Parts: sequence; C-alpha cells; structure tokens
Amino acid sequence: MNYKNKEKFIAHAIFLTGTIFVLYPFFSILFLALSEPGKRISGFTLPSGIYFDNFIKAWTGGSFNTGLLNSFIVVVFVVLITLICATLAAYAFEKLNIFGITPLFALLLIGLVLPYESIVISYYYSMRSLGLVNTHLSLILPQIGLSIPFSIFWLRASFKSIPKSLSEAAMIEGAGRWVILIKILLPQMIPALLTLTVLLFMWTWNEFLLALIMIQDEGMRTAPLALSYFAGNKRYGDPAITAAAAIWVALPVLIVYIFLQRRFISGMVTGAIKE
Amino acid sequence: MSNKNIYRPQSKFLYSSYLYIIPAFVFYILFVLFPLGDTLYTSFTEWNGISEKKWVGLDQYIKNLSDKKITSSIKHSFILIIFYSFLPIIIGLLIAGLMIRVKIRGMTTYRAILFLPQILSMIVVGISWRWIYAPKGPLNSGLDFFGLEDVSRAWLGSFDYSLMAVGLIGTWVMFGFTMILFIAGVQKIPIELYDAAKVDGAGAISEFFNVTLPNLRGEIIVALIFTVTLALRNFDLIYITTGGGPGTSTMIPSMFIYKKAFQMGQVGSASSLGIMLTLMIFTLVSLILITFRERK
Amino acid sequence: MKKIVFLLSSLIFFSAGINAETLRILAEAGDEGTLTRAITQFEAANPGVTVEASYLGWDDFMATIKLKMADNNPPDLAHGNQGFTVDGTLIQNGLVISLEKYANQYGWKDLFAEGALSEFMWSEDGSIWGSGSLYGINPVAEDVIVFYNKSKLNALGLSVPNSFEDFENALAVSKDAGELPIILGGADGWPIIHVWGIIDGAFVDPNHTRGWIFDPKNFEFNTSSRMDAAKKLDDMAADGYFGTDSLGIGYDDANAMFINGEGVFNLTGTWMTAQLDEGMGENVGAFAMPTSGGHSVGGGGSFALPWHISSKASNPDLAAKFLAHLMSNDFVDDLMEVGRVPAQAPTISPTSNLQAEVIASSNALVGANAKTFYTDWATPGMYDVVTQELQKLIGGATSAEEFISAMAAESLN
Repeated sequence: MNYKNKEKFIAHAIFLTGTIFVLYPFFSILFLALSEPGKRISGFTLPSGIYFDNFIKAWTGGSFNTGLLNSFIVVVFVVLITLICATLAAYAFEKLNIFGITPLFALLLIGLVLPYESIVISYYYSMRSLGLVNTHLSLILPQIGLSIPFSIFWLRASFKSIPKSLSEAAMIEGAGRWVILIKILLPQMIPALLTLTVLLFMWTWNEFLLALIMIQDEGMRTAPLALSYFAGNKRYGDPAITAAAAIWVALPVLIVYIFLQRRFISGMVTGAIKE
Repeated sequence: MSNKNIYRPQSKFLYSSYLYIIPAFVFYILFVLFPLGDTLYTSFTEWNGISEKKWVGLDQYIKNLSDKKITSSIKHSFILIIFYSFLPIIIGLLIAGLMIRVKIRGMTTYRAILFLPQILSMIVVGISWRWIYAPKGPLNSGLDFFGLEDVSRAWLGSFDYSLMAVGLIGTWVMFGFTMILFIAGVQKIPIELYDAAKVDGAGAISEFFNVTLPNLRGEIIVALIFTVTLALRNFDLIYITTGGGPGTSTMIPSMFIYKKAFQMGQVGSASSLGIMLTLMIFTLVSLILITFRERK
Repeated sequence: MKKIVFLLSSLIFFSAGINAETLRILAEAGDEGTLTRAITQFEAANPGVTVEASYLGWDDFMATIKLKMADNNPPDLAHGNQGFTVDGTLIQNGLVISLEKYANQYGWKDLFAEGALSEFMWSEDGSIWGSGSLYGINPVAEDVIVFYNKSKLNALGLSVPNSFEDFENALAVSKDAGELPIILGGADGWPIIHVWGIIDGAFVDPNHTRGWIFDPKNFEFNTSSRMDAAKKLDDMAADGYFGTDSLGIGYDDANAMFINGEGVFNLTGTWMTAQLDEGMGENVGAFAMPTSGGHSVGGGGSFALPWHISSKASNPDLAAKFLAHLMSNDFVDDLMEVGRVPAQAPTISPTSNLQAEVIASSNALVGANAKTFYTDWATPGMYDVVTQELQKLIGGATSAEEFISAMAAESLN
C-alpha cells in the first residue's frame, strides 16, 4: 500500500466508523418497530421477521394522521409568511438605501442568539389573553417571529452575491424597486430561497416546546407532540409501537432529506458561515 | 478601476422603502422583542400565572441564585457543553486535519449519513436513544454479549451516568455536523500554505496548529456558537429522555423554566431563570466572538 | 395576501368552534375503559348529547391540567388531583366550581361515611383543605396494595405475609433464590411514592400521616417512626430488593415485566387490577400490606382522581348529570366489570379471583382506617421534591436522614 492509498484507507475507516455510529440507533429503532407485535425483543438481536402491525397500531392509536396534518398546516404558513417577509426585508437591507438601517440590523442580532425557551412563558400568557391557545395560530405566529432574523441574514447574504450590474442596468431603464425585485433579482434567488425553505420546513416541523404548552386538544397536536404523548401514554407501553410512531414522525423530513440533502447540508454549513 | 464617467445609479432614500421591512419587523417586534421585554418585566415580579403580578425587584434572581437545585442545573449545562460542543469539535478538527490532501470516493454518501442526526426531531432522537439505553436495550445486550455484565446498567436511571448518557446523545447529534463543517473548511485552504509549511520543515502536528487551525477560525466560531447554545437550551431531549431525573441529576435550566412556569405556578421565578439563561447565552456567544476574533 | 388572511381567519374559526350540546371531557388515561362505557350509556340515555373525551397519560396529564383548565376554552369536565398542587390551585383561581349544589341534588354525600369525602373538601378560597365545600367527586376507590406472583411465592415456599417483618423475610428469600423481589418502575418517579406510602404505612400512625397531608406546616414530618420507615426503604434498596435497574424502568414497562414473570411482588395501586388480571389470570394475587408487628394494615390510598366541573363550562348541569351517572348505583356493577374497585358496595360478586382479593385488601384498609392518601398531596412543590428525593434514596444518592430533612423542609413551604 503506498502512502496515498494508506491515507485513503484510514479516511474510509474513519468515515465508516462514524457512519455506523450514526446509523446504529436508526437501525435498532427500525428493527424494534418491525419486530413481532407484543413480543419484547431484547435489543441486540435481529427481528425474527418483518411485521408492519406496529406501524398500523401507532398510526391509528396515536392520531398521527391529524398530527401530520396539523404539522403540515403550521409548516406551510410559517414557511410562506417568513419567506415573503424576510425576502422583502432582506432586499431593503441590501439593495435599498434606508436611513437607520444599521441599528435595525443590530436589533435583529438579538433574535439570532435568543433562546426561545426563555420567552415561551410570555408566548403562552399572551396567547391565552388573546384566546388563541390551542389554535394553529398560537404555533404559527411565534415561529414566524423566531424564523425572521435568521432568514433575513441568510437572504441578505444571497442578495449581496448578485452582481450589482444587474439591478443597475434595470434602474437605468427606469425600473422601480418592486419590479427590480420581482423581475430581476428573485429569479437569481431561487436556489437560496429553496434552501431556506428546506431549513425552515425542518425547524418548524421539529418544533416541540411551543406545541407542548399551547396545544391541549388531541385533534390539534403536531406530529412531534403526538409522538411525545404517545410515548408517555400508559395505553401504549409497548416500545415497539413507540418506535414505529417515531418513524412515522421522522418520515416526512427524511423523505425531503433524501431528495434535497445537498440543500440541507449546504444550508446549515454555509448558512452558518455567512453570518 | 472604476471609471468615473460611467453613471452609477444609486437607489434614492425614499420613506416608502420602509414598507419593505415593516412586515418582517412587525412579526419580529410582536413575537420576539415584546415577549423578551414581557419576560424581563415578569422576572421582577411574583406571579402564579393567574392572579395579579406583584413587583419584587431582584428577589427572584437572588432566590434562584441561592437555590442549590438551580445552580446545579446550570452546572449540568456546562458539563453538557463538553459533550455537545467540545467533543464534536475536537473529533471534527482531528478528522479535518487528516483530510487536507485526501479526496475519497463516496464522500457525498458519508456526508449525507453523518449529517442525518441534524435533521431529526429531538423527540425522535430521544425515543431512539431511550431504547438504546434501556435496561434490556441494545447497548446493554451488547455489553452482556461481550461478557461485560458488570458494566451494563440502566444508563438513564443512573445517578452517576445519566448526565453523561444524555451528553453522548448530544455528541451523536453534533459530531457529523462539525466534521462536515471543518472538512469543507479545510478543503478551501490553499494547498500552497501547506506546501510552504512543509518547506519550512513543519511536521504534521505543527502543520495542524500553524496552518489548519488558524484557517478554520470562522468555522470554529460557528461550530462553537451553534453547539454551545444548543447545549444550554436542550429542552426537548431532556424532556423526552429523563425529564431531569433521576433525582435532579440531569436537570437543566430550560427544564426548570418549564416546570416552574407550567407545573409549579412560579411564573416570576421561571421568567427570571429565562432571563438568566438568555444572559448566559449572550455572554458565552460574546466570549466566543472575542476570543476567536481576527487578530490584527 | 387576501387568501392568507381568509385562511387564517378560517383557522381561528374552526379551532375555536364549539357545539352547545357537546360535553368535553379531559381525563387521565387510566379512566378510559370506565369512561368509554359510561359515555355510551350516557349518550343513549340523553339523545342529542355528544360526549367528547380525550385522554393523557399520567405525567402529561399532571404537567398540563392546570394550564388547560385556565384556558379560555377549557374542557367542561376534567380530572384534577387531590392536594394543593392541582386542586388547590384550581380552586384558588376560581377555575372549577363547588359541587355542593349537585351533591345535595344527587345525594352524593349520603353514599359514604361521615368525613370520607374530606379529600375533596376545600374552603371557598382554596386555602384550607380537608373541610368546607365539596369540589370534586369520583366513584372509584384506589388503594396501594401488594400484588404478587402466586407461582413464584409458592415455589419459594412462602405464603402471604402476616406482618411487615414476614414480608421482609419473603424479600430476602426471593433475593437468595435469584428472583427479583420487587419490580419497580422508578424512572417515572411517582411509582416510588406508592412504595413509600406502603412502607410509611407499615410504621407510621395513619392519623398522623393524614393530618400531615392536610396541614403539613403544623404536623411534624420528622418523627421517629417515620425515620424508621425511611431507613427501611433505604435498606431495602441497598439490599437490592428493587433490582439494580429500577430507576431506568418506566411504570408501564415494570408492569409489563411483572406480567411476563419478573418480580415476586409489585407494590402498586388497585387501578392495575384489570390489566394484571388480563395478563396473569390465576397467577396473580393481592394483599394489603401488614404493618410492622402485624396488628393492622397500611398503605396509601384514596378515591380516584376528583372530577371537576370547569367554571367556564357552557352547561355545568349537563356535566353534573354525567357525574351523577358515574356515581349512580347502577354504575357500580359496571365499574366492577371494567375491573375497577367501586367505593360503594357492589351488588354483583367479583368477576375474578384477583378482583376478590383486591376488594378484600381495599376493605381491610378501609376497616383499619388506614388509607393514608399520597405523600405528594401535601404541598404544591411536594410532587417534585418527593419524587426526586425518593429516586435519590432508591439510587443510593442520599441517606434516610437527608431524605427526611428535605421532606420536612418542603412541608414548611
């Protein structure tokens, strides 16, 4: 083995080890979910056969159909409204000449670092006084607010990378701000917007604490909340059914990930660097 | 280079430009800044969530700081930083150091798999690991299989190991992210820098410290901020794996905020703990930025 | 944008819409079997009424019930939990109504001995517990007793113990024979409260324990007999009578394991009767724990979780009518059939051997006036303190003395 091959061998060995470490919990939970219902498997063994009963029991017993639907509704509104608001703001920050832009931008920094665990108390009591507890809105509105700082930072960096000459040319021709944004800049922004969509989808889909405190009706639960209640509910003490339920909840994000994994990774890796 | 004869149009300052930022700031002010101010105000009061708020000044902060359970929960958070932040960053850096000149096949697949824990709900992650750590779960069965019955135990139920067990879940979630981040960074470093170091007679270790590390500064800042904040927040994972137990051995501030505000009816105290957590995170992020800022 | 506004407003509309003829119930999941039966009967007897019940597991239920009752749109009828932590807060904040009017209308107080309902009685401002107006009601008795695996006990040459010392001997024999003496789901914390209630009951005068729970500031927690109980629990844990993994096992798992033949004894509540019956049939028995010296019996126990009517209920009379159905004579036998232990005497004989033994144990506790409620009822912070401290005691992370002083300190809060 020459020097180069040896290095490659070591690299493969390292990555394979990492891969196994990452995949091990996935496979053990998958095996558990596929195991024979009612039969408690003890971990290290392969399942005796493949049974989908646990998945069916989890689906019907945990009201995951409504859970997935609720999550979907929340995600769609949060992502859409955040994208619209953040695009407009990022455009203004980067391309328009606005007085007082620096302090406003600094103000956004607070939201970028703020742990929302600290302010959920206020969310709850505000929503309660507005009579919005236990509605989709109580999940949608705060998450838009929380998604906006990151989205503006992210989109502003993308606007920056569009050559000035493009908008300048349009400006000379007398195009207004709105037209420049819609006709000239947005087509250039599609990849960035898509990546941001993927990230916002993932974060909103996985949100838990807000749903935990806001939602009381079984029919209003989001998927992760339904999963948590399911795992804690006496009636379904069987870990195999809980495992199947966990897979149901992870599935939508996993499917999107399989198709758009580059966007997830580049979004989180480069998105983080840009800031 | 610029030719002064070419007319460069400048977007004029127009008041109507504010219209573009208003929607975003309405949401931001209503759902981030206002709740923050509201929490700050509540933190100076005694309130059970239903009656009138009673102003008590800094009392809640003083009480929290003298409550042993709370100070120990802060200590737990710092221990978790080792697992969520330091371990993954060290692993990531070491592997990135090895990957300077190596390009291997299948990197895209490795990357996709290593990144996987990042995209999953912490509730799903927690449920998977609850099973791994269960008394008769895969980990203990594996230990028993290799004759290590004495080592196997109920990991999440152990006073000595539960915090570490939860911490290792954090390592599992984070190490793929730091690896990918650092490898991407390292491969952007011009190879000439390494060649120059080699000419100067630098070994692998000095190469790592003199070339790799300084050039990964930006990535290290990002990784530190991302992982440290997650270690301090961390509600979902603790909630689903241990709920803070056994005893209070995995209790962390965000869990206390939830318990105090929504179970024990101590909303003022919970708010002050929330502000303390915010300040802790702001301070640590500033420290990271100051420590690693570009030296001129 | 208009579309979005429209969709948003329709979302609000749909998620807040309620039907006046609907009774909304939020219950702890253990009551599902009972309620399912009661709802079918109630809906049949009251055409046009729909009862919507949703259920949460114990931990989630207790974590969220106060918030839910404080909502603008709370369930009409919901479980609370005896004590200042839940019921006290609900009453202090006017979230639930007094049931005096309905108790008189339906004669609930006549069903039980004088003072038997004191755990549901509160002063109007919610500051005094144990007397005053009736704020909750439940037809089911729940007692903490000892379930045991019959074939294991026989194989070990043991019989049902006559004193706590007998019981300890049985534990030692089981351990020596390689059996797990007591199965315990300690990861959840609260199941240890039941174990503590039983051991506490074996040593401490039940009147003193009840007095302490109703008024923890004025009844000393730290008594010598209670110290004996704490030391006993400490020793039992140190001797490995709960196994080594008890703090990593949840309550449901522990019961599933017991059904599958792990553990000789299972110290838990009579609410498990139906499930254990189904899983183990003739192989499971039950007894009330004899006290130290064997002169009496002891153990935690009370009525099941109190039903409360929300002060925002659109039709409180309908909610009360449903409660009256649960409390009615006719429903007593239904309770038996779904495996509960009715607080009123049933007219049918027990449906199984286990149910007979459970009812006998329950009667023994009532006869000895030995039901001592649950430790966590005492103060708002007690649930957290007692579960954490008991986990520490079982896990060897604290001493009996430290346990007692932590509990005594919380008693003054």
